[in-house]
Amino acid sequence: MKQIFIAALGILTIGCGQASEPAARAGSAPRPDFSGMWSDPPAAAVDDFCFMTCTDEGVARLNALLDDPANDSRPYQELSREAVRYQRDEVIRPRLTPDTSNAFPIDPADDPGFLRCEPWGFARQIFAPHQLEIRQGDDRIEMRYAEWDGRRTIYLDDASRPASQPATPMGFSVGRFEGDALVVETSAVTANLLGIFPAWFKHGDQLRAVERYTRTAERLEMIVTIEDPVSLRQPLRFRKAWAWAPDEQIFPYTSCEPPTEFKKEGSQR
Amino acid sequence: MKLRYSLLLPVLLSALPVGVTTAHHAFSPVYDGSKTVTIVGTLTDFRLVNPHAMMTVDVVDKAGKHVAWTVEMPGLLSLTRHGWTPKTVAVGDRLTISGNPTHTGSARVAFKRIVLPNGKEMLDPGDDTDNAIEQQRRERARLRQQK
Repeated sequence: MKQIFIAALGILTIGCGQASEPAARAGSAPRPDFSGMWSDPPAAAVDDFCFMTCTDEGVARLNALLDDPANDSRPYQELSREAVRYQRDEVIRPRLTPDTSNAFPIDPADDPGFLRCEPWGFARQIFAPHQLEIRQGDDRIEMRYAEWDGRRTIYLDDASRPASQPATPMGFSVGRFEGDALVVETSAVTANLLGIFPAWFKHGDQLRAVERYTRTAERLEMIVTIEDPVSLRQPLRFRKAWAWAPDEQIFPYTSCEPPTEFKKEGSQR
Repeated sequence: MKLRYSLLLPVLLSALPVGVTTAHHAFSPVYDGSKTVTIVGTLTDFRLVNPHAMMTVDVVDKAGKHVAWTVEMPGLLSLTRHGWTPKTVAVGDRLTISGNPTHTGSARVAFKRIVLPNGKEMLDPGDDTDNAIEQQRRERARLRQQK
């Protein structure tokens, strides 16, 4: 698998080299470069809270709890769980359609990744922790996630874009640059799970997402807005961050087997 | 032997979402985060792999019977960041391991703490993260009180 990916990147690199760069960029501002290895930010309260993803409202709640002197004696994890509950019940749940809300959150024992070692779909993979490797070419960007060794291609121009794209777990992504930001629009995502336990739910096949990536020397940030008429009454906005991690690598993800024992967890709802 | 469970044990141990302190979608269906068990035994296998590292430990129970316990650990990345290598433990090592038991009481445990033959203690990486954040909190509170 790893060899295949390296070969694919090699082809991408060759393709990039063959592109007419001066013509492609004539008269346009230089593109920001997101290439490289990114990974989990250093331990800090907000980044830990957003380890996989979070909402602005959830972060505000966490900060309010941390800044309240009455909470100084309470452990961080207790405050984090309180903010997680707030985020789940006051931020996410009100935006869900009635059917989705009734089934919210999904029981962790119903997770296909847990039950069948089924790799995550787009609406979970973009929140995956650990490494995110970005390979940026002129006509496309390749993203590789350490979790599940998930991969996706983001097409940057019409010429390289497939004419049609069947729905897939990782969807079809088209990107553009807006100033210092990379903006990625994704559709054609097969129905799957959206979000991260304990605030996750099933989304439909009409999901659309707009990711916006910005970076500094040491930090990569993503804000994603997700719409889905099946599961959402209003768009949901999440954020996530990575730290520059040039010395890290993505390890094989090959040793998953379905569980032999488990129980449902209805008490979580 | 391959790993039995998918997903993110490191996450459950660091993000600690709502509910039981260790509740996570890959964890709570299998393990009881409210309980801790300790086993003492001899290492027969250690695989530092993704999605979870795994140990097999031969434990002699009260009746004198040898039982092969499985110890499910965070993944390769989380462990190597916290000093683990394939040589941290070796087959034949006598180990003391604490962790969360399964709901069924099977011979399986989710790793929380290990004591190596040389007496060195290694904690779950998520606990190290918690400790670092608590230190930051104390500093944050101190600065606030100075205002």
